[in-house]
Amino acid sequence: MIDIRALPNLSIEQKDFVNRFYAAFDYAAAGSGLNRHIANIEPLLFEGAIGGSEFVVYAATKLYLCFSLVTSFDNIASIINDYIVYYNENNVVMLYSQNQSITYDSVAPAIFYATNTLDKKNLWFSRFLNNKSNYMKFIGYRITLD
Amino acid sequence: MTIARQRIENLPSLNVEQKILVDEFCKRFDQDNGAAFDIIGFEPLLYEGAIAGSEFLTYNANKLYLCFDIIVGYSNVSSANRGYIIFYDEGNAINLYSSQNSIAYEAVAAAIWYNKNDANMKNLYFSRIVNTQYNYMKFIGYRITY
Repeated sequence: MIDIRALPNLSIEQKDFVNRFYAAFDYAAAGSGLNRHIANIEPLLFEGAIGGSEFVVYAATKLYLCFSLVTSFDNIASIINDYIVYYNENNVVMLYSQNQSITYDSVAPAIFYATNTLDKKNLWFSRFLNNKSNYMKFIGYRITLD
Repeated sequence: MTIARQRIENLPSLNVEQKILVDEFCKRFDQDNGAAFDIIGFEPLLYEGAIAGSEFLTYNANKLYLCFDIIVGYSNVSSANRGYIIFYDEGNAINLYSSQNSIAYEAVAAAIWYNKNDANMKNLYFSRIVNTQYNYMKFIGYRITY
């Protein structure tokens, strides 16, 4: 199993991020059942639809160590505000992300939101919730805890 | 393992995100099975110019782009048409969108108008793109044949 901390070419931001991730999730004995030991690390590249992907499903023993997550939307502006919600290891909300332009449509009449592409770097999460964006690209690692 | 794959995987100065992209790309498209999935060509590619008529629009089952940076731009004023780029995968299925519009409601036309700001995507692979509105681009990466 690779040690992400030992990867060459980590930026200073990534180095700090990865070290703190290990400090938080790799201190218990193997098989302790506390989910505070890294049991497996798998590199992961994903480009495709968010719907039905593994990233929207919570599992207590699964985390994503993410170097880059891009989400995008395939359609025109609408009255729905778009955001991505990131959940922590306990399935609790820990971060939101959005990038929109808005306008008031007097015919509708309502505020309309144009959903722009989002790019989030260097974070970990257990799952995310997509409100409107429907395609994604992920580069990072799938972490299994035990 | 093909010589082309060895050259890709040994590229110097890849950052950690690019390394995962390259490694996973090679695993997926260079399987040493002697069938369709062996990387046989690897050409560095820099392109700045019009999207229309460029090679990036054309699907070919044996061609992929390993992209470190793609930026698309628009030459004209805002209009009722939303701007976006669609990325397609190796099977010519939609992989990802990219858009970066600013919007306003145009009272005379009674429509939402979109201002197409530069859309940028880093570290991905695709087989072709479709451009709506965007008409100029810059690409840095590799043309892969397999």
